[in-house]
Amino acid sequence: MTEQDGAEAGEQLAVELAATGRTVLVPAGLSILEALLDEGVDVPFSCMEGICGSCRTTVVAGLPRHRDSVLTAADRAAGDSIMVCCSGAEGGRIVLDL
Amino acid sequence: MLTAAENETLTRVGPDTPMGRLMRRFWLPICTSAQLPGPDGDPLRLRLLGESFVVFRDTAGRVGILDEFCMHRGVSLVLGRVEKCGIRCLYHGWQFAVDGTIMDTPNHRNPKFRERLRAPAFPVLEAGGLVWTYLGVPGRQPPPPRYGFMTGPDSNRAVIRLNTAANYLQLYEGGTDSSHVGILHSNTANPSWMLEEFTPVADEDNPGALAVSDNAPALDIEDTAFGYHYVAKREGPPGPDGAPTHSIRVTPVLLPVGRIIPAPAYQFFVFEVPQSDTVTSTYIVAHGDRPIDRARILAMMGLDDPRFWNDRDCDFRADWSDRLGQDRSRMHESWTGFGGIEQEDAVLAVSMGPIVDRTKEHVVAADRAVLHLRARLLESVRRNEDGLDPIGLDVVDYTGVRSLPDTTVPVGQPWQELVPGNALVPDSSEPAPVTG
Repeated sequence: MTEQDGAEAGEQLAVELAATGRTVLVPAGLSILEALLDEGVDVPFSCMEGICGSCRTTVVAGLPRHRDSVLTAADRAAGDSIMVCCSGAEGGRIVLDL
Repeated sequence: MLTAAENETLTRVGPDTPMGRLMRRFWLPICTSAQLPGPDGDPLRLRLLGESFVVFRDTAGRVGILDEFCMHRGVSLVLGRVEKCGIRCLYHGWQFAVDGTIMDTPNHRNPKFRERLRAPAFPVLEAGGLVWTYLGVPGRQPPPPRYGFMTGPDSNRAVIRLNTAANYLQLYEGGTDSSHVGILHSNTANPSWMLEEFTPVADEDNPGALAVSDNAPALDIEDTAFGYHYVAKREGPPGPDGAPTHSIRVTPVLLPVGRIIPAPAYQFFVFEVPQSDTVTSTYIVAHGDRPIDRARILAMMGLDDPRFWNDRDCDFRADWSDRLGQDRSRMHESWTGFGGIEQEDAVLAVSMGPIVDRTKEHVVAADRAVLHLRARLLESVRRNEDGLDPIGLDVVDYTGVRSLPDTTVPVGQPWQELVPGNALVPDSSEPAPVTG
């Protein structure tokens, strides 16, 4: 378990894809991005460390737990986007515009 | 003539154009094998259909075709180090294999990055002295084409590339225009033109040698699976019984960029491949069933003059500062003031400007095969834009397709009987293999 995992220890994170309603479960030890890629969901990305902003994804519902260094305080307050390479979500569920 | 819109459709080949999308359905040559002579040699900076690539041969002899600019922050990989089975960017040392695998990122230790990402790389086919690639939708490439020149000993083949500052269609049209052969190429077709008499040249190697002097050939055109083929019928000498004859010459046109020009001893496969809208790489592959003297072919083409062309960069040099290199002091004995058929063809294409305005032309019956080229290309573009396969995409095996050098036949003999393989080329309906 590292800081960058999408799911916290002892909690299962479910990511719902708004376009299809499909749900991808994020296994422990993987980021949301890695889980999506493993399921064949095409998400642009580069650094995988919350630096570059390539994987910025729109949040439809749910509360992101931000760990990136791209979003500004205002971005975070708005709560409508997430860097899926390193961030997670409160409450074990998030719906993304994918 | 064409409308301005049709001319645009036919001549623009970038990624977001109808013709660009059509050409991206096919395997196309990007360079010659001779330009990549050995492992870990100098990488090439090449353009194809308006895009830029780095092409290199790795330590194991495999050819790689990657986006020219490093995926990290855009430095040209053409400056890179070719070593240890890959090409390494000078800037931060990122190293890529021929298939785009990221082998090393010295300034970024996260191994997940190298495992999850891949540099843009394109499929490679090396055959017939050419390096071919496919720039279309990944995994949707057709099976690699098979041509007669891809078999047999290398000594039976001569491969020439020349890069000309003209849109591909100007050059392609010249290759489907039989009536210019006896006029523009007068010194080849009829060296005694200045005496106003005709002397045929008995040169088995030369596609510009005509058997008769008729410069207004009648044309017959027939569509085929690979595009079309056409016959130029010139008045021939009377037959043994005094009956009228035709001297016929058949040229197959292999859409979207190929054709086969006949000489008695060799078939000349020619591909007019766009580097961009305004620069064309012409690949000429002369091939027969006996050893071929490449130096003699180059001389015949007029490419033995280093003012115009050299084997190192393959660029055809002609600009108006010296009237495109024309020597008018020789025009009493040289019809053009130029020398050799390809030199003459390339100079004329350059003289038209980068993209000729076909709304202003005045075509005649002798241009029918040129008009048919445009019509078939436009038809193929429409098919592709409508979600169907473009003309020729399903043809894999071109080995039976032949051109016919000047042959005397009785008037009325069906010319198709002399090139039976052209009609027999099947539409192969096998689906393209899905790879990558």
